[in-house]
Order: sequence, then C-alpha cells, then structure tokens
Amino acid sequence: MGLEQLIKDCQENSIKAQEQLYRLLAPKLIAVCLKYSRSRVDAEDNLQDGFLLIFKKIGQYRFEGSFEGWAKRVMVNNVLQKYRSEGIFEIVTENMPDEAEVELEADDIPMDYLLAIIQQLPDRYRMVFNLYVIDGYSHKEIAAMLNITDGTSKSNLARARMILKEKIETRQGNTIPTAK
Amino acid sequence: MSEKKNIDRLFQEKFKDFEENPPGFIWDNIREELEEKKKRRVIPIWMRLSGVAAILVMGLLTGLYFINNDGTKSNPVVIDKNANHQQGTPLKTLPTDKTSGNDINSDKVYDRSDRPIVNGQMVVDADKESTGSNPDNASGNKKTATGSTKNGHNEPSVNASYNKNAVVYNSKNNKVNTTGKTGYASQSGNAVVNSTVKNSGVATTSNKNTGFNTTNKQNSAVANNQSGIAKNNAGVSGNNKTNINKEAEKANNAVANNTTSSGNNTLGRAQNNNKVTPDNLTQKNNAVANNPTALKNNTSGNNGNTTDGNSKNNTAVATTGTNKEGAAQNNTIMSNPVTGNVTPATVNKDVPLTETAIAAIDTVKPENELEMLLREKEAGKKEEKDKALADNAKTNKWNVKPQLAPVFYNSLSQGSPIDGQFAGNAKSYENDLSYGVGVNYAVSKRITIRSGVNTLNLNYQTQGVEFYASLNKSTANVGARTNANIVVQNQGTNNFTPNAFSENQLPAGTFNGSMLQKTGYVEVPVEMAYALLDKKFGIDIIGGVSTLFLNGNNVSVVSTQGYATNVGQAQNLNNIHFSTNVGVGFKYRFFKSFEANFEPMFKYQVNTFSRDSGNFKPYFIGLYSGISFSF
Repeated sequence: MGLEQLIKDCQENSIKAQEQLYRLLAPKLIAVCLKYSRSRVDAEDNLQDGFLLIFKKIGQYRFEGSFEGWAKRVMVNNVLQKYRSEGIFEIVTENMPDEAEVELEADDIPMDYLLAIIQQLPDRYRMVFNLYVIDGYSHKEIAAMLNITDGTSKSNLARARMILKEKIETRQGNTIPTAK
Repeated sequence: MSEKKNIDRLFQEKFKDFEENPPGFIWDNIREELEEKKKRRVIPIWMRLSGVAAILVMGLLTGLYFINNDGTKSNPVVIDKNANHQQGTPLKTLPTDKTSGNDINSDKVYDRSDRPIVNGQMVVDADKESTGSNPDNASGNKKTATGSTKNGHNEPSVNASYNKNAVVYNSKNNKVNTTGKTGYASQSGNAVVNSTVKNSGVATTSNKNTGFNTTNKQNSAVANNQSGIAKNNAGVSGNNKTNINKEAEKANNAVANNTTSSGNNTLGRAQNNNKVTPDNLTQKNNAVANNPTALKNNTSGNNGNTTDGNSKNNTAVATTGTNKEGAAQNNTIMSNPVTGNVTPATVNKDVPLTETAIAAIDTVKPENELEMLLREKEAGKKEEKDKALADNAKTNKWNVKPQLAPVFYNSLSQGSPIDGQFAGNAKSYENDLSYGVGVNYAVSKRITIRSGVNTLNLNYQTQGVEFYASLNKSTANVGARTNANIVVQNQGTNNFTPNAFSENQLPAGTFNGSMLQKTGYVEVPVEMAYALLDKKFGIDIIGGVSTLFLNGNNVSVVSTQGYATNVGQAQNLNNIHFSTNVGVGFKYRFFKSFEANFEPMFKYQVNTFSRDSGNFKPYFIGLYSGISFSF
C-alpha cells in the first residue's frame, strides 16, 4: 500500500491505516519531539498529542509537498502551541552577542548528551535553535511563529549556541585543544 | 578522529538521521483516543436506541417466558401436604381429615390440591347444609351419604383431641369474647406489628417524597450546570438552588412585569447581571442553562438574578417600582439596540453610574454577546464532556453506592400464591423500603456491570377472607408454631365445624378479615448498565437479573375487628428465586467522585413459588436512590 493510499485511508479514519502511518512516522517524529521538548516524558506526551492532531487534521493534507514535512510541521506547531499556551516565551530580550562560531571537537559526543543539553535550554532558546539550525526556518519565519521580533530570534539563537558550546566544552573538559 | 566543527553543523549532522522507536504505550494511548472519538462519531443515535431496545426486549422476553411457564401450572393450593406430613406450620388446619376419610368439612376447605373443582362444588353443597348448625350435616346431601357416617365416626376422636386443648383454647377465646379486642395477647402483639407496618408504610411515602425532592434539586442543578463554565461542585449548585429560591420569592412581581419581554430581552438582561453581580459564575450558569429550555424559565430565572444582583450592587433597582422601570428599559434597550444607547441616559436618573455604564455596554452589542455566550457554552460543554469522559475512563472504575428504595409490590395477574380460592379476592400490596449497597464496575466508558446486596420485604394482604380456629388430629404438628390452627378461607364459605365449636362453647362463628403474607428477601442483583448520556448528568439503561434469597416468611390474619394472629409459614416459597430487572438510571455527578443516583427499576419475579403459585405473577418497582462514590 502506497503512502498516498495510506493517507487516504487515514482520512477515512481507518484505525488500521492510522496505525501503519504511526509506525511509519513515529520514529522520525519522536526525534522532533525530543528536540523541541524539555524532557523525554514531555516529548512522549507531545508525540501523542501531535499524532492525534495529525489524524484530526489529516483531511486538510492536499497531497502537495511531502507528507513527512507536513506531519513534522504539525508536530512542531503542536509543541510550540503547547509551550505558548503555557506562556513560557516570556524571556527578556537580551543584547545580541557577536555571532560566535563555536569550534569544538565533536565526534565522540553521544546523541543522548546532545539531546539532553538541547532539552535543558530555556524553552525559547531551544525553539529558536531547533527551528533555525536543524529545521532550517528563517529568522523571519521563526519570529512570526513565536511572535517575537527578528532580532530577538537572532539573539536567542546566539545565546543558545553559546550555552550549547559551553556545555559541550565543559564535557570535553581538559581535553579541549586550544586551537588547531 | 577529531575535527573542529561549527556547532550548527554538529547538530545538523547528528540530528539529520536521528530516529528512534517510541515506547509502545504511546500508540496504545493514541488508539484509545482515536477509537473513543470514532465511537462517539460513528455510533449514530439509532444504534444506541436499538441497543436500549434490545435490552428491553430481552428483559421482556425472559419475563414473558417465565410468565407463560407460571401460567401453565396454575394448580391451586399450598400447604396441606407438608402440613400433613410434618411440623406445625400449616396455613390451614384439619387436613388430616383426608387420611381419616372423606370428611366433608376438611375436603371442602383444604384439599384443593387434589381436585379443586370438585371440592369447590362440595363446598357449596356443604355450606347449604351446614347452616342449621347440625352436627350431622349429612341428611340432605347426596354425596355425603357416606360422609355423614364418617362424620359421625370422626366426631369422637376430634372431640377427644379437642378437649385436651380446650382449656387453652377456650380461655383465649373467652377472653376475646368478654374483654374484646385487648384480651388476646397474641392479637395485641400482632396489632402492634400491624400498626408498625403501617407506620413504615408512611415512612416509605415520606421517603418517596424526599426522593423526588432530591431529584428535583438535582435536575435543577443539572440545568444550571450545563453551561459547563466551571467545574461545578456541591457548593456551586447549592448556591444556585438558594438563589433560585430567593429569586422565586423576590421575583414574582418582576416576573409579572417582564413576561412580555422576548427571549432576547431576557438574555440580555441575564448578561447584565452577569457583569454586575459578583456571583458571576453561578448566575451565568443560571442564565445560560435556562435559555435553551423555556422562555418562562428564562424570565423568572433572570428576573431573580436581577433582584439578586441589584440588591447586592445597586440600590436603584431594588424596589419593584424601579424594577418595572428597569424592565421596561431593558425591553426598549434590547428591542432597539440603536436607540438603546439613548435610554441609558434616562436610566441615569435612577441608577448609579456603574450600572448605567454597564447597561450601555450591553446595549451596544447584545446579540454578539449572546452568540458569544452560546459559543462559550458549547465549547465548555464539549470540553467538559471530554474531560468527564477522560476522568471516568482513567480513574474511576469502581463505584460503591449505598442505596435506599421505596418498593412498590404488585402482581401482573389476579391469583393467590396461598390458594386458588383467593385468586379473585382483592389484594392490597404494601409498599416497603429496600436498602442495601450497590457495587458497580465500569467495563468500558459506556458499559457498567453492577451488583450489590439489598434487603427486600414484599408484603400483601388478601382482602375478604374469613378465618376461624380449629383443631383436629394433626393439631400436634401445628402446635409448635401457633396456639391453634387457623383456618383461612374465602368469605362466605362458612364451613368451619360448628358442631365442635358449639359443644365446647367456642364462638360459633368466623372472623372476617384479611390475610397478610409477608416475605423477606436478600436480593443480589447482577445487572448491566449502558450509558446513554455520560456527562455531569448521565442517563443509564439498566437490565439484569436478581437472585433473591428468602429470609422471611410469614402468613397472618387480621380480622376486621382488629384481631390478628399468625397462621404459619407459606410452604411453597422457593428459598432462592430470581427476578428480571429493567430500569433507567439517572445520575448526577455533583463532586469529582460522588454521584447522586436515582434509578426506577422494574423487577419481575420468576420462580418465586415452588408449586401452586395460583397464577400469581408478582413484580415490584423500586425507586432506588443513593449517593455513589467512585474510586
């Protein structure tokens, strides 16, 4: 059964199709949730709610563009919506620090650690960082999504980078080479 | 291998193909929610209704099945056989005459188990003959040619045994005769019992009333709460009630004034109040909930609100005179939203600034607000429904419910389980009180399995009977239970043994009166309930079976003069029998885990009698009410 047929069946509320679609997309979408959420538990909650939202709105999918992309957007929006409703985006805008190219030694950093430090970021930093760096949204789009200004978005991104860098460096501890 | 990396690229690369399998329970949760949604959407109303119909039909069919079964074996009579064979609890005495020969007297009255019709005829015959109080009633009777001789033959023995007991018996009866009603100890005892029975009857009616009252309250509370604006609790509903009551008093005048106003007007007015009064929530509830139901309700309810609100916040509208003005103004304001802006100016004279300001605000866009309220209401409803469902499903599977029910006993047919001869007699069924504990287990969101334990007393009186004391050879068997055998028969049968009585100076007569059969049961129901409506206010359809364990069995007689005595135990009651139950349950969740229940149940008894049920098809209706706690 092709993806298109699967989606159509989902649009007709076939529970079987919905399960198949879930099995297909859940691994990718939980990754999204893990990145955007504060913790694994939160991520699982968000995955569940996000999927329910996907199944609810799947009738609106017009078979334009990749379905995975659409589902991801729904998922991300769901998370944003949730945190927005919790009112946690009220972070004081800070001065934009210089654009810092962080250089570091990378390969031995395990996935879990990267996830952990992302999840530990303040909510808005995490959102901005994910949206911009990983999912490729522009600052303008992010500003619109989060209801902040471009500048805030940029500054938040920079702060997020700094925090992440510090954490990675701390972890690497003394082994950090000064330069190369 | 290490290399320098831009932090962005690090994360991009790392996360590019990042996938992992989510834990299995997530899908389970999702599926549960989806199925729930689907069910709610897919099952159309007719399916639910057909489910209800199915339950009803099943109940009826089982009922009918048993009814028909009962009908086939409508042989009369009850107790004689057992009474003959053993211990002293026969309903009717003299049966042993059968053994000693075909004594007419005994045959006539008691021996219906064998040949009821023939016996009946014989009764008639015997009656005619025995009028003369002739000890030997043989003379005119064709059939009793032999009977007479047998009578003659029997008499000595009867008398002999009779004499032994005569002292006791006579004394008692004499007392009855001389001192009248009070003399007979056992009678007075019974009289007490009877009076208490009656009292309990009264108690049941009062209970009934309270039952209804509470449900009324519940209903009103429900109406008030449907707006779903807040999680209602007892406190809130309580407020509502009192508000309404107060309003009822205060608002009468105002009602009269405002009944002309249209629905929109009243709505608008309600909104006014919502803004004015501090009790916004509760009053809003009133307003919103009342609106869809009836216009009159609206006007009264809203007026009540106005008086309430006004008395608290405003001085101006407090009196009825100003109320009239207020109402009139409201009418104009609402019917003409544009000119409404002008009228508040006139209101100013009477009303403080805040009030007019608010009035002005309302007049600007009354309709929009109306819509908003409706929308809010709908949204609230949905949310609450979801929440309620979710709460229900996740947390509270078990449910314990102490319950109380006035029980109304009756029979589907004429007939008498005591004896076929009483089939045609008028019966009065006594109402009693059943109480117990119910346990429910929610199998799914809609379906609940119910059980529990209830006590149950079912009593009825057979009117128009007569009874007399009598002795015969088998008296010894009866003695353990009663002082003398009491013979009960239909009025006009007149075939007590006059010879015996007259010779021993016993009252030569019978007592007219009624026969009371009391049965007590422990009822263990097993039922299934399907929730038609499962919100704060819920409606269940209930069907099932009860097992009834006999724990009380007594037959007594009361004469019209007030004499009463035990007759014995009915011998044809099954120790265990069943009932098929059908009913409707109304419930109202007034606090998170607490529900008030009201469940009228129809329970048709089957297999009540081991034999000779006399075409008696008993059923009872219980109005079960209680407060349930779920956990």
